[in-house]
Amino acid sequence: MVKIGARGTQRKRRAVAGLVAALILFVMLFTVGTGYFLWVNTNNGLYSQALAARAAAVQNQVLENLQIITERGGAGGNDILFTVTNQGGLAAIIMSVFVSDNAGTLYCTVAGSPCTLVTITPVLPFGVSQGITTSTIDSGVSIPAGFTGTPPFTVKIVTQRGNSFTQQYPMPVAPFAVNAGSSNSAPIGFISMNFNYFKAYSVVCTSGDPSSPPVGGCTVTGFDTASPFSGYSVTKSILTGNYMLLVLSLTNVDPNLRDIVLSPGTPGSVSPSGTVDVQFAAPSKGGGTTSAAPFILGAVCNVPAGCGSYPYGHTMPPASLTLPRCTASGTPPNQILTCTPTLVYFYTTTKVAANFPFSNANPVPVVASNLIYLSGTVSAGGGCVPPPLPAPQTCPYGQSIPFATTLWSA
Amino acid sequence: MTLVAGGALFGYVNGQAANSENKLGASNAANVNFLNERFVVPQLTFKYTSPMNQITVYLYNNGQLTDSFVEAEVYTVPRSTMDLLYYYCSSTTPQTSTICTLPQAPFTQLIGNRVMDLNNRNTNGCYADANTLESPTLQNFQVPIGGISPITFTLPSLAAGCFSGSFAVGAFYYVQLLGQYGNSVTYFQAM
Repeated sequence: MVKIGARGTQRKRRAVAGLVAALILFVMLFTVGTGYFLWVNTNNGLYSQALAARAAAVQNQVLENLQIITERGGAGGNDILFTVTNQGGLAAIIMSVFVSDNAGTLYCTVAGSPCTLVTITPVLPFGVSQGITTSTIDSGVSIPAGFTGTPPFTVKIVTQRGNSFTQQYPMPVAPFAVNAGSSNSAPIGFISMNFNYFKAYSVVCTSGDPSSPPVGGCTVTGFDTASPFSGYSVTKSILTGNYMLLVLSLTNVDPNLRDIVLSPGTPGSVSPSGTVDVQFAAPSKGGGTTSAAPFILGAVCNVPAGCGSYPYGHTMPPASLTLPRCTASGTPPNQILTCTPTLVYFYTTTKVAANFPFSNANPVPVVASNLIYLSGTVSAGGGCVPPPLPAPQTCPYGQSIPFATTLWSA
Repeated sequence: MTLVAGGALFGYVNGQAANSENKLGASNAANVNFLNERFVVPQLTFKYTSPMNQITVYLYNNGQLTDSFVEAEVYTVPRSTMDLLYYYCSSTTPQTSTICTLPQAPFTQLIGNRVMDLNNRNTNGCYADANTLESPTLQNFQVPIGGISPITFTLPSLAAGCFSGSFAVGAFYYVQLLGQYGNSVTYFQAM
């Protein structure tokens, strides 16, 4: 009898369960896991892309900076026109324009809205590259008859990046802060200008020629008795065809207590060589040229009040105009200086032309960055600076006072 | 045994992954849509003739997808004078506007375009159907990419004790719009 042991009947089995489990895990890893990883990765990529696009959009939005200059003109001479200067770091695209008259009427190009539809010329949208000023854009909005400027129209443009920029018509007076850099509290040079006193007058000239030198026949209407223009907001349309007079209040604040003598310029000459004048340096515009309109020093009337309708050229021009030195009282360090302002008058030697202040036919209004050039001599006191040049002597003197004026047409 | 257990595990993991992918995808889509949804209000205008009860909001889409809106709040500062919420409650969940999920009855039952006086939100009758007070309705209002579209809201006539009045010349009015993906823009302008 043969007994076959149990071990003899058993087949040998390999331990494959672990292998199968590992295989399943690997399959799961490379199917579900990889798919999941790719899914998450794709989603993360989409999110990162959207986040980067949003950040870039916000950043680009901040870099946009457009300046609008409004004016009047167009085919009928009565439309609100404007130009846009790109002062930002990126090119911009103007998508839409809104014009409001602040009395409830809104003009726009959005069809189906309650605004009054207008046609913008040229057709929107259009781009403005960095540093470039557009050609004149006609808003299609007509200025009503009898418009006095108050309340003003508001022109708003909307860019492709979602920014809005506005400007008024007529443009507002240049902010006082623009002129603060050379205010009388911080004079640049020895002559201080009182920026609170800066007037402009329209000089009516019925006959004669006020130039070289001015003679009778021209009068300053309502001089110092009526309301003059602010020198910071000159209404060109009233001045056109007439002469213009600017009045400044200047004070000699030289700490060395010297007289400063301003020398009148030669009519028709160009500053700053030997002249005292005001220069309107109009900004370049639409390919136009930068130009200046010199105002030559004249002393029409050196009496602060009571000039009335003063004959133009009655007692003028003086050969020069002295800004008297300050007077000192007390002893240092408790010395007190008393300085007296002097009114100085500048007048145009030619009539204000229709295209003023540009040399070509570019229209106003503009915010003009202007300079008052003062030149002459300092005399007496300590003489020229620096020592040890012999004193007393007469020394050349020059100073520029920057300011800004809005020139506009009513 | 290993194969059965492995298969079950595989199925479970696969289901969990799909579930996670769905939720992650929805969450990510919401985030991406939120980032791509951008809009601004460049202009407001009012109806200056009597009754002065309309305000038109111009919206410009500077984003990367078509804008839709679920809420528009018209209010003054302080809000005690006027605080009206124009909103849209969807018939599906989740609701598009959070106001639709407030526990106060009967607002949870209202579907469609509504306007509510938020100063008296718990007073019955201080809400109204806004289908005739919105042009177009908030539900149908869309702003295409790069486009400017207007929507006009008319002040409602509500029950006594609720908001009543019209826009006043010289007063400032604020409009806050909530996009469907969560972006919010506030703009104000004097009438």
